[in-house]
Amino acid sequence: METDRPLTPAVFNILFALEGGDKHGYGIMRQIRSDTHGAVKMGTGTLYGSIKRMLADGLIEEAGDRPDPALDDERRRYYHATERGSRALAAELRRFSEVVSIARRRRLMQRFVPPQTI
Amino acid sequence: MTARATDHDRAVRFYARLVALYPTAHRAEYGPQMQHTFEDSYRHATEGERRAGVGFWLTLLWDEGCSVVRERAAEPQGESGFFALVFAWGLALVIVPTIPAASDWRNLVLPTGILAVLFLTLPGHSQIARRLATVVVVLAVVECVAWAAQSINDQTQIKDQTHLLAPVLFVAGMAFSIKTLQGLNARIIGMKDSVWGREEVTYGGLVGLVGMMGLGFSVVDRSDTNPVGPFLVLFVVPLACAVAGFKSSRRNRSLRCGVYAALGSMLIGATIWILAEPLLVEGALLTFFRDHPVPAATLLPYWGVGPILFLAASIGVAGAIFGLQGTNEDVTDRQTTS
Repeated sequence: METDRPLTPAVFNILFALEGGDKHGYGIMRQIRSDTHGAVKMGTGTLYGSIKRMLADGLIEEAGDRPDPALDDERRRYYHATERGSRALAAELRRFSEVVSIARRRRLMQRFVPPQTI
Repeated sequence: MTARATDHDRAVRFYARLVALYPTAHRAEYGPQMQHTFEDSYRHATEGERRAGVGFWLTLLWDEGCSVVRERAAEPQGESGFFALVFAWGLALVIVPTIPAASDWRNLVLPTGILAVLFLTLPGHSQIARRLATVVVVLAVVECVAWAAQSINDQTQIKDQTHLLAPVLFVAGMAFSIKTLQGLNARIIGMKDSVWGREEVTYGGLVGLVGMMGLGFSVVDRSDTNPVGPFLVLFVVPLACAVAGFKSSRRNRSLRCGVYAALGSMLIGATIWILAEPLLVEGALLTFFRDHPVPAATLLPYWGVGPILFLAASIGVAGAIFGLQGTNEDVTDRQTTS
């Protein structure tokens, strides 16, 4: 996957969640729910389908380090964003930022976005 | 065991069944993780004294349903569970026409169309199927435009719209046949590469064309004095199957390969023949010969198809056996000489 190509919502949310540190599947789901204030609830099927494709595209990889197996279920696998994944996320955030700045210039933010969220 | 623990166990078992719907490779790689993540989600949803609500289950079912379809569609074709369906349909194409009550071609159109769309839209299919699908779409558009133009000009409805649909059905049937028989072939011999060999396709195409010509002649002249149709159908078709079996068994030095080539040619030919019926009866051929004193268009009786296929298959297998014997004699001769 080219890093300058727009990301799907699922891929974007997963990369966004992993920027805070390595996480396992349920950790990613919780982080996404927390980041979006519960607006996005990613299902298990979507999550692991996206993880599979992101691994293939080199956007994420399995983390080598994991907590003490005695303290953690061995079925868990931890993932972290690769350099390529971080670049893809940065490119996506730049796109968002440009859209927001254009919207500000055209005074669309005041019209469409509640003041407390700006 | 408490009611809460029972609910949890039941939910875990239910989710395990959902995971079982995924393709084998995906299940092996991510199944345990998915199971664990579901258990965490379920535990979170039932924190305190809560029970998992309807929303939790509906969201889960929707997400898993979409994901299963997505992963199934993305898996390599050779591992597809759809092969069982393809296999059943391939058999049905051969068996159904032998049952007079179910032999009206219209009974085949809807399921054939649905399955054709299904197979042609799944990823990972051969280029030939993609190209044929494109042809089908183009033909359908042309037909729609022609139908609309004619309706506007004549200010009348076309008497029988199936006339216009015949070529589309024919091409769709051809595309579908190729995909069906690929699956059938793979199922029979248990190989991952489901594509027919060049020999089977060549002879199968020949059988199909000869069968269509034979049917065409029978449509034009159904009298007993017309020997061309029966000659083509009853002699040339089995002969082509026999040659396919003979050559394949000689080349591969295997009776099994010869039999597959003979049966494959027969199946390809028969499917082309059966699915071409709309074209022969309702379409271009009848239109071309419309001035000919033909009675109400009917083909060779369907009850005749089963014995013809049986004859073609038998002679094809016999050809394969002869081919193999020839090969063995060649080998024996060479060994004796050396």
